[in-house]
Amino acid sequence: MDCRFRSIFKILNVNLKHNFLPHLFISLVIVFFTPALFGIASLNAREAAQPLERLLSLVGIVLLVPIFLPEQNENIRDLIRSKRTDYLAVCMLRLLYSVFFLAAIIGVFTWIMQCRESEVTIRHFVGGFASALFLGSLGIFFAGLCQNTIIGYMLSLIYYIANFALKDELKGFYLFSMSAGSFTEKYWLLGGSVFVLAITFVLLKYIRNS
Amino acid sequence: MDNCIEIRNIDKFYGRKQALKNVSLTIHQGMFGLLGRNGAGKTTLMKTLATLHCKKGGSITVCGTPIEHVKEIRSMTGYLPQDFSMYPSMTVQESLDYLGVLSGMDRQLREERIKLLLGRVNLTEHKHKKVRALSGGMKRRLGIAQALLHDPKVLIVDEPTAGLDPEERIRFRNLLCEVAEERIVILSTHIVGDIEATCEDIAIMNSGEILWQGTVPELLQGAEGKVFTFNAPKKYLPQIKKQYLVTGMLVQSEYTTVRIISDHTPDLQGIVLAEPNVEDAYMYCLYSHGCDVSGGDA
Amino acid sequence: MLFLKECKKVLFSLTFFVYFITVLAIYLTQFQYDGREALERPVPGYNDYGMVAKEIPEIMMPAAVESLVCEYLSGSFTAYPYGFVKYVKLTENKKMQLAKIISEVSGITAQELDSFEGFEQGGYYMDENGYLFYQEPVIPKITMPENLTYEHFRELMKEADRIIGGGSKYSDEFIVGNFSLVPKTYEDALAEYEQFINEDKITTAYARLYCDYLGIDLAILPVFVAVALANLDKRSRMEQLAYARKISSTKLIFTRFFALISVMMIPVVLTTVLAGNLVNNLYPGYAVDSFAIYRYMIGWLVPNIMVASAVGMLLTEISSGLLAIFAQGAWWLTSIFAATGGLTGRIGRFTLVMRHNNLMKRDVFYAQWENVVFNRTFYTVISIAGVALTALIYEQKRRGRINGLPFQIDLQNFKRQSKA
Repeated sequence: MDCRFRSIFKILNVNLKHNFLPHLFISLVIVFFTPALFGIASLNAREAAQPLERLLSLVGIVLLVPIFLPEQNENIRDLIRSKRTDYLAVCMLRLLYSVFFLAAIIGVFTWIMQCRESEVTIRHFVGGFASALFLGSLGIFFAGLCQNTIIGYMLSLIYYIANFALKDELKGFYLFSMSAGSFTEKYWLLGGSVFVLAITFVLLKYIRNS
Repeated sequence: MDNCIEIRNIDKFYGRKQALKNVSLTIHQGMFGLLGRNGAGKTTLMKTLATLHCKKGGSITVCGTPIEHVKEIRSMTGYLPQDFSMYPSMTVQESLDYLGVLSGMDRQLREERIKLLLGRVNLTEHKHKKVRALSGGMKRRLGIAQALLHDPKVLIVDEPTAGLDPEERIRFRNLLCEVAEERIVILSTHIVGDIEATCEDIAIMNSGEILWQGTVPELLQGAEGKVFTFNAPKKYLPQIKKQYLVTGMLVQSEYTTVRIISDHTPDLQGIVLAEPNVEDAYMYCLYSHGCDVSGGDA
Repeated sequence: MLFLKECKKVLFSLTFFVYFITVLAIYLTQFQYDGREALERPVPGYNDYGMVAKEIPEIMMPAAVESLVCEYLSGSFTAYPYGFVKYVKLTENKKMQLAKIISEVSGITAQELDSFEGFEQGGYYMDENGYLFYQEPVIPKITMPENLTYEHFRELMKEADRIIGGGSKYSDEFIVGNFSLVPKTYEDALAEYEQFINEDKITTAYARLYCDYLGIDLAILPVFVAVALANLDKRSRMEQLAYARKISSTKLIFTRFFALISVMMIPVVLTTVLAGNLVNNLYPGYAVDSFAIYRYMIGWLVPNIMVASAVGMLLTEISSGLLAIFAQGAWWLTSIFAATGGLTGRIGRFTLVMRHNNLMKRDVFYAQWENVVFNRTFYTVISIAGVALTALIYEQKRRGRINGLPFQIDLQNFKRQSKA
């Protein structure tokens, strides 16, 4: 058991170092630019939702979509898959730490907003996180299914753009609902993310075995 | 437990295209060569053995374990893909270490094996080099080291010598022969010379089927009495190529020495029966099984 | 033929498929939706023809001063410095500077401002029965000095905007639209409609709207298609082969570029034809300019596709497709957000995504015509230059002077060889 724990730690360590840092860096760039574009101080509840939903949700795409990227090269994928450790388990591990960092980034950002006297609550954190997670999950779904990370980025970005125009059509999956004063959509987004991610991994397992 | 791989009547489809047709093979300890043209289905068969593809129908057992037991199979096989690559930002040592972790090896074992294998493939001085900075030959050697890392019973190497210079190629073959003393090594290649130099047992594949299986001497034996040489003036060459299966030509000043394969002794002046080499025997095998070899003016 | 081969690669790529569907979807959900019914000629006798911004000092000055006092008292200033809404809070020092300006335009002293109690924001509120009612703000009484000239007032507002940090309601850009709105008269509405019919010949107005909608996505999506094409080379290990081929780098890269542009034009041309037909059928019997939409498509949309493709090719060659996607994404995002708050007009010389989400306001668009021409020419030229640079780098890689990722050049080697 101890050995197993140690190898999980090692896999985590290597992936953070070699496969995660560039994406984390890009997310931090987004985070640092957000206050320059939006205000983050002294906002009321609705205003405070704007930077979280409109800009920080993109961090979901940046951090989550590339979980299959290191093995985009087919030869590397074959090599990694030929090892005893289940390849999908490694991807799952990447997903977990990416979600963790996503939550941390949005959490810290919300906390900073609170310190700057904006009217933010735990709901803002959950709401911002839900939008980001859903965008990322969509990207993961397409990236995994098409075995093509570019498609993942592309379709999640298109979904993001669609939210500017199709507010009513997207119903429960509208990403910017909190800025419009509604929180119900966030439950759909969270549930949807879990569903999409589960489907992705089940399908990948099935595709590989057939 | 028996030390062999048993493949029985397996098929594989890519959509509608059938990549493996009713393949059956028995592979024993030592070097086993899988010979065939590009697209013959060698890589598909190798990937199936490495549990990267699923077969359709039939059965495969590796040292008694059915191939469906993926984890166990992966613990006892090492796989070197056709074009070995690894995360470019990793160093040689880091790559091996990480792949060792993925193979479920503990730290002490990894350290020992990495040290041993780096020495064996001559990469000790380059162990801090990044993968992206390695030459083709070095990359391939890293590839073999990672495949041997967890000391597998079965080693699967796909086209290991393609793209290497002659010196590297010989070194690589020797390395494979050394490791084959204690395990099953399956080697696929379209280069006849690789097989000749290393393998005892071979199988020849063509369009997804096993055409022939046996030893190298048996293959040679099959072509005995079917290979001829003669000197022909240059102007007759196109006609000869049309009529016979030509396996070699040596251009001299006035005439060309032609090497042909034929079931019957051709009625030509100065024709001499020749001793078949592996290349002739391979070509004859394809030819006698009705494969289209007209393009093969090797 | 190389061109056709490259076209085929683009045509059968997954990214192009997604691009194709998206372009069609934007057309159907956006443009076609707006074009579901024709604009009608204004009829005299209505009360409401909408509002129009006209620079009338008598209306603007009191409204702006009241807003400034309100914002000062609430402690938060709404501004759009980068297009995004930003709520600015001032430091004590800046507050003092602003209080001076306020007292100059409103007669309220700094002490009065800071000691004022019971401030209430004015605006429209809803009563218990769901009816909207307007409530006056509760602020100190404003008495504008009589000797305050309009010019001086505008200067003071500019200064206030500078203190707030730019992009505020009092900036030159927004002050008229915010504080000097007057109801449109029947004559105004009619004149606008006449302009739409006679000068824009209907189709030109629709051409702008069409380009506005499609331009947004055409400034970003091509980067994915271009990166996917460049990656295809790497993924299928063609790079080594392509490097060794005889064909010149310039020819190869430019052929690839033109193949990208040509294939990506397919859905655009398709929707242009559809849009043209839609407008023609919507306004039967009018004299329309049937080619306007094609001219606009070529002049407005093609440069967008070119820029995004060139960025994709160049950055993929220099570093990686990932960088290309993120760089173009960031550029595009800032450009898009810089336009919110002003979806009509505001076209700078270097605006990546030009917006004009309006069938009217022809004047606003043509007032910036020089910028438009400069802008599109600039982006066309810069994309071609980008592709030329791509070809140059590709050639250096071919000769083995540059290799490896990320960008590594053996500088010494590079210099020595290029001299030779």
